[in-house]
Amino acid sequence: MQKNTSTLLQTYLQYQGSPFSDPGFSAPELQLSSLPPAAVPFKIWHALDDGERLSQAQGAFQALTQHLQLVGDDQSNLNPGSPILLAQLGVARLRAQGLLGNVAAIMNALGLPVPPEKDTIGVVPFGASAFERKCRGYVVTREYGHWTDRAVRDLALLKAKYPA
Amino acid sequence: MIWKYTSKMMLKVWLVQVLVVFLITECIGELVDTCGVISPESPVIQSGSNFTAFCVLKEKCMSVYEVNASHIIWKVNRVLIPEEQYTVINATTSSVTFTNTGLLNVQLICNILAYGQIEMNVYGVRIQTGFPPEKPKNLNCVVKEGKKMLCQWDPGRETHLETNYTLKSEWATEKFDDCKAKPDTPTSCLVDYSPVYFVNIEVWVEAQNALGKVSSDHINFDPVDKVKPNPPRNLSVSNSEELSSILKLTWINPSIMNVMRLKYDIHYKTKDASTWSQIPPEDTATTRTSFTVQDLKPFTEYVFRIRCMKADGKGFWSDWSRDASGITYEARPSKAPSFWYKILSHTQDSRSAQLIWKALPPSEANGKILDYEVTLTRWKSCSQNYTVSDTNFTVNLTNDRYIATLAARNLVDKSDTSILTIPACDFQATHPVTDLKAYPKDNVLWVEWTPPNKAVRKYILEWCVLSDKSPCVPDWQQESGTIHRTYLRGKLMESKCYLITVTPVYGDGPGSPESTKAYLKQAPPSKGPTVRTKKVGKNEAVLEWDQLPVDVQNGFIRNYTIFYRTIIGNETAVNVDSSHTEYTLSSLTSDTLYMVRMTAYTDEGGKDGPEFTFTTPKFAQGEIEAIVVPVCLAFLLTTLLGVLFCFNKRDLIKKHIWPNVPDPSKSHIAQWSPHTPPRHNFNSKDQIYSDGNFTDVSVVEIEANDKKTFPEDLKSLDLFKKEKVSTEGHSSGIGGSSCMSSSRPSISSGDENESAQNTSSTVQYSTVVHSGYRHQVPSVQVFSRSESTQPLLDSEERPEDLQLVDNVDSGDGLLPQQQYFKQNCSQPKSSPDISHFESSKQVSSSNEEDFLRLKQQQISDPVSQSYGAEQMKMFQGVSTTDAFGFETETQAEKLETLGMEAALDEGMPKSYLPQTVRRGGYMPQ
Repeated sequence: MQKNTSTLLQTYLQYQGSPFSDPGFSAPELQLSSLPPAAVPFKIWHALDDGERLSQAQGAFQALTQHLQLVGDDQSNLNPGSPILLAQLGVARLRAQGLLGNVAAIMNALGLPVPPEKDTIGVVPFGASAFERKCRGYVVTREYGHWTDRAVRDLALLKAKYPA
Repeated sequence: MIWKYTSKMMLKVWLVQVLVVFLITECIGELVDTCGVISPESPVIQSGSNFTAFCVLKEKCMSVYEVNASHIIWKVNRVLIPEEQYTVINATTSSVTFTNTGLLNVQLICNILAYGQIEMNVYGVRIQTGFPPEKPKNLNCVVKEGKKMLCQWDPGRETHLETNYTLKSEWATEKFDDCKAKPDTPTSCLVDYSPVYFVNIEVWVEAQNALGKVSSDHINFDPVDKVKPNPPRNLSVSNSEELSSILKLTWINPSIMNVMRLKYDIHYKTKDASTWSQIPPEDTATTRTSFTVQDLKPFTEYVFRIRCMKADGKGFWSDWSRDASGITYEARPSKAPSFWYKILSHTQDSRSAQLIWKALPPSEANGKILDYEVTLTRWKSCSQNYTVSDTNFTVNLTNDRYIATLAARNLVDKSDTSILTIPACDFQATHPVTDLKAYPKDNVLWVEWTPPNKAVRKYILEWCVLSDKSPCVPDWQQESGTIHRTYLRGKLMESKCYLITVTPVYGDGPGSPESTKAYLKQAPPSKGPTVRTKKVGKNEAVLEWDQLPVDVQNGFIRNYTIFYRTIIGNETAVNVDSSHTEYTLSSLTSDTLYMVRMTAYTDEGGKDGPEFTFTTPKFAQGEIEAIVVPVCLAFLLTTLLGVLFCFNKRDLIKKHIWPNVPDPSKSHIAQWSPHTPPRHNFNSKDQIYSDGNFTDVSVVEIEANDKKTFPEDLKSLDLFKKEKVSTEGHSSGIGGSSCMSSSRPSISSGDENESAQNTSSTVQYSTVVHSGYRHQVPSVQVFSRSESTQPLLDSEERPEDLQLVDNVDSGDGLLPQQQYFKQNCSQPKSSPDISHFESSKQVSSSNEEDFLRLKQQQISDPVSQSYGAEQMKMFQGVSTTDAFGFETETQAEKLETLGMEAALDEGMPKSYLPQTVRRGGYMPQ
């Protein structure tokens, strides 16, 4: 899944045209207000307890699934002739959804309250330009990767805490 | 204008209205204009259940067609349904009920009888029957790597209805789209989303048709546990120069290895083997990209294949990879080659020896044998080295003892050496193996022996096919000195006789060879033995045969069976031991055709030889002689005794047999006519006698013989005939007459009385005739035949003629009278005369005419008269009584009409004599 996220990012950028498809493209400063950033200082992350970590991940992946859906919709408009990208976006969304389910199951198993699903996008995306949408997609796919990495770390930690 | 416009508008509106109304009525009419409806409209019935359909009529129709529900009739596929199944519910409704419906797909039609008779369709529906779907079982899913998930299930029994299967799947948080199974594959469905590993998914299948809906058990799994990976790619095999027993496999794992750990299953086999061996699974239970297979044979090609699956065993094995093969590296030959020698030729002080050895089998050669190293060491001398690439080496040796060694060399190293001692010329081989046996078992020929009581270094087994056609070309093999049982490792043929020789080899040279014969598999002989008789006796026959040639034996001949039979009789079988080549059949029937054949039997069956036929002789050898010789001797003895007896008693016999005939020459008549020679005299006298006799008898005959002599006739007839025969060839009447008198007793010797009578009559005859002649000469003249007296005299005057005839006929007419008579008398006994007589008899009828003519001649022609007289004389020789008796019997009528002439007629032709006489008589004339 981790590997697939970077593949997705690469594939996404490849299909967006310049400047996104230029080698070494990176725009870390771009952020979406509706999507919580995965980057978090290690100390803070370390200080979080299991419930907080899981609920943050839960919330992030809820948002990610919605944003991946949004990006998928955008891309089906912008790049209708690229089924590979669309398929990968679909798979990514499904995986995010699956991870969400798994995290929810873990939280349930740990007796933590599962936060209800909420609409994080709202009316923001509509009326955006193509460039805006491409940027949004970029951020979403990047954050998807970041959050996946973080979730892996979260779960590895959790796994260490609760062997078997 | 306006009106026009308005009216135009009006028209348009009207047209539209009409069109609309028309269309409406059309549509509604089609839908509505039925006389009734069936409910349910399109029934689907569960097979085996009951079903009722209702037909409701409309009031309008009922009044128009004057019908009510009782006029409804139902049809199924145009076949009337029996009225028992109808129920009239009320005036407008009729129902039909089917009980326990089977599987059907029919058209049910409701009809009415309009006006009570015209059948009209009211409404039709199609009834379908089937089953509700069964709960799908055995739902399982497989995720082929890189593809979407495929789920399969067992739909249960056939529903006979259109049934939809829907695969439903959901996560805890999300439902996926339904996967509808295609109608042609109602047992599986390929979902249209990519599988998400590590997220449990719940899957079930729903089956639905008109009769029901049922869903299977839910299964919940992580798709990663249902993965069927792609097979490993690019399998390659490499060997190692260091280790000839290993091969290293490398491959590229499928990409699914990023998601899960793999385990492997590696199969291998030698190139020609048909079954695969498996690498122990525990050695390949972790993800890897290479594996080293150990414990392989050197210089052997192996084939490998590999497959993988999730390491924990969940999921499915991948397909097999493509086969890959590799050859292990060469190793040192593991064994020394088999080594043996043959002495090809041997002269006074040198020998030519051929050293022979066997190429190592691949399992022992462990590589390609490059050459062989041979060393020859003469006794107490330095050794010579040779490098040979062939498997034999011919070398000249002295008569000394040699030691030869042999080693095979391949790329890696050379093998151990085989050592062979070639003994000196004067070496005496000893210590053979004992109890050598060879027997087939499991399709190979085993050889077994008891080892000699001396340490054996090795055994050499040689064998070849025994055949009369081809020489023995031996094959050989070497066995270690510790074994005493092996099988022949050559390619052996069935039903061939193998001569197997076992030679023990000791440290100082080979021991004495020992041989045996064996068959890999016996068969019946291809030819049977050819049996023949050596000697055939009256009651026995000695059969012999050759041993079958070894080429046709096809096995050990165990015994023979001889079958023999007569042409009609049953076959008799005799078993004969195979060591025999001869057998005596006894108690045969003599003079009989025997068929004999022989079968030779091996352990596997027999074969008939050709059938041989012989005939036993009627008599045993010497039997004929044993019979014939005594018989001949006995006969000879008897004859001899008879002759002796006769000789002794010849006077007595003479007295008995030959009557005492008075010697005419000593008679008084002989002196009566002194001028004539005695013979003539005799003849003439005889003539006279005959004449006299004749006349005398004639007289008697005329007077009484016609009636009186009849009784005698039958007997005398034969005699008469014989007499006539006996008289043939005799020119003189006296010959005939005398013969008659004398022969009679000899013909019918049993009739003593008759002969006595005759004899007496003869005596009487001569006297009577004598007297009668003189007295009755004048009376004779009364008869025309009496004229013959004259010719008689003529004939007397020509005695030569008569004699000539005599000579011709009997050849001893010159003999004395005594002898003449004797001969005459014996003649009647002989058969040729009888045939003469018979031939004369045949002539007789034709001669009758001749005789009549003769008679005329007698009258007219003087010459013929004399001739006739001669004939007469002949006739007179015949006993008149008999002659007449005969005549009267045979030609009584003639006698009556012709009188005396008839007597002549008869007498003349019957006798052969007259003809000869005639001839004789004529000739001089």
